[in-house]
Amino acid sequence: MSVKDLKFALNAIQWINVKEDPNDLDSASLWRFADPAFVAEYPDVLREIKRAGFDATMMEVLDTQTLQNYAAMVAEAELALAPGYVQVPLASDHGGRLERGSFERIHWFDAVRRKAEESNYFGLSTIFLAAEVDQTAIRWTKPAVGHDFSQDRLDELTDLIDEAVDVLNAEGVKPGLHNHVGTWIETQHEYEHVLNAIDASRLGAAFDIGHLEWAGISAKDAIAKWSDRVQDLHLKDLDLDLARRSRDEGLTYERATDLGLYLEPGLGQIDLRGTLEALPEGWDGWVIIEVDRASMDPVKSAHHTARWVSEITG
Amino acid sequence: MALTQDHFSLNTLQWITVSLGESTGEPGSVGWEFDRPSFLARQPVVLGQVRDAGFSAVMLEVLPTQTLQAYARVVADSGLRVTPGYVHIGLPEEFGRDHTGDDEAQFRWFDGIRRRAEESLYMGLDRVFLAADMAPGRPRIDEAAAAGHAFDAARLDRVANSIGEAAEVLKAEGVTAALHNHVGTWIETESEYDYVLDAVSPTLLAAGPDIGHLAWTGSDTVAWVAAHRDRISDLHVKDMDLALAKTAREKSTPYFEVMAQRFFLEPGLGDVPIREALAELPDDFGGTVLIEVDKPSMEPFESAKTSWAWIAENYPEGAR
Repeated sequence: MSVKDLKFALNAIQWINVKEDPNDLDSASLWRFADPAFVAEYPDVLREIKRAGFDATMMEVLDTQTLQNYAAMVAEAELALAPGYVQVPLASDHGGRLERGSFERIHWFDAVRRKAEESNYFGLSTIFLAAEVDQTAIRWTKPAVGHDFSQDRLDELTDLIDEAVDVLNAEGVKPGLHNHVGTWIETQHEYEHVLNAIDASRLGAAFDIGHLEWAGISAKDAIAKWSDRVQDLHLKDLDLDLARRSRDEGLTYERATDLGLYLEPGLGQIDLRGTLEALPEGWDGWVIIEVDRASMDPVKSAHHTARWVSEITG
Repeated sequence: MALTQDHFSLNTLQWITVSLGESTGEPGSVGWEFDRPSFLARQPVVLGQVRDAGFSAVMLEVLPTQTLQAYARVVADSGLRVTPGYVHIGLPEEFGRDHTGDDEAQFRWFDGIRRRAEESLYMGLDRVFLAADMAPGRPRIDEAAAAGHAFDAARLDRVANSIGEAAEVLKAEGVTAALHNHVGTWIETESEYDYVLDAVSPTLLAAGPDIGHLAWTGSDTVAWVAAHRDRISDLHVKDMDLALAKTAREKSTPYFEVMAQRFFLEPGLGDVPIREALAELPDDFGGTVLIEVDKPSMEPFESAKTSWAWIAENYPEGAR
């Protein structure tokens, strides 16, 4: 379809995934959404997103704020909200498999239920559904190559995702399966296994273009192949040479990130326009842009990203 | 008498305190039926019985495995209104934590408070009962209830601070806290209750007494309500056997040992001067009078009907 008809939103991630000392690659990587102090800074970030030229941002209610508090911030920034993101941890990575119907298993989906609640509160009927990002997992050390694959594990995860889909569907939210490097749903075989196992009426596809390309998968081909199920997308640009190097040389997720894998759209080599044009005619999903690690100051990064959007849609 | 039937609401304790007192506090350990995911299916039935017993309102209680929207649907289907909920806050030290210098841990200590504010606002409520927490292993639960056991003035100051902080968190969300006394907690006796109310500004903290719990400690509940009438935003009401309460206080009896007897009673079946205490409320009282029967002396639905019968008798329809 024509790129000019797409709806774009920005994830605030430029301000979130930052180094403690921006000039020191060896300093700690921060995830500021989780920092209680970020609540006070959030309104400024939302205003900057609007000021950069975006009309929408990804739904991200901090776990340190109420729905009403977040709604007030979003309204104040005059932003619309695009679908949020939820992840499902693999039980056997956290102590062992869980019996269906058990107390522990029902509570395993508390975070999923919460995201359904948030989505409903803001009138969003879709959400990105991914396997858990676990920074202690082996794939965080050996990303993007389907390391340590196990069909048994994938089956366990598929079963948990199936139940997460149930939880979301029961609340009127339709999830789209999201691939993410470093998780157990990283390769084509892995996301296709889950998509084939769960009916299209219950689960759509919500690919991450950048994570597909990092894993060496053509995002254009993936979208074309699953065009009847793609409901929303994450879009990011990458230094594809570095992506290749990370696979060939075994760079860790953190190292690849710190070396500059992630780039503002247009600064990397992914054919983003061509990929978006692979979407079917009349597609009305969201394209949420993510710059997982900004290559410049966050405000500049947001402005640069907004300019890219106006260029390709202009 | 300013009170009408519309002031009254019911906490569904009759149906859910079945295994109370058996919880170890460990994850997965069920203290009451609300904690069991299986209660989700029973909730519409229970709310239907609350309505059929005669009540038009029920206390806010979103279940742990339920979204706000799902809860709102169940409430709407029952035809009931919801009235202010309940939240408690503990001292980190009693959970082996020290938040000194750890702003993040201290901030997150109030996550449950923020959640209750969110639930309240979602359901259109702007008030909530706020209590000190109650947990197994505490001396007033396991050793001696309702007698001000193991009093510690410095600890009471820390409790007052945590109540003040929780009230500020609620206020920031637009919800007013009403301080609640509860046997078994560090805000148990009349003097402890008054101490904390005096320590926190009335602009931040209203009073939301449980007149049954006050009576259990031996207080003159009628005089207490009269003295605090302008600060009371909402109340809990329960009836009980006050002779048993007195004996239990004198003999240092654990909380759940008292509860195991025929102690808690439907309104009118015990000795708490409920009507007299409520008569001390101001004529323009606009809050909720929440009926609680912590452990019913009969089958739950009968208990709810008996509770409503007491309301209907004492606050006749014509007075509406």
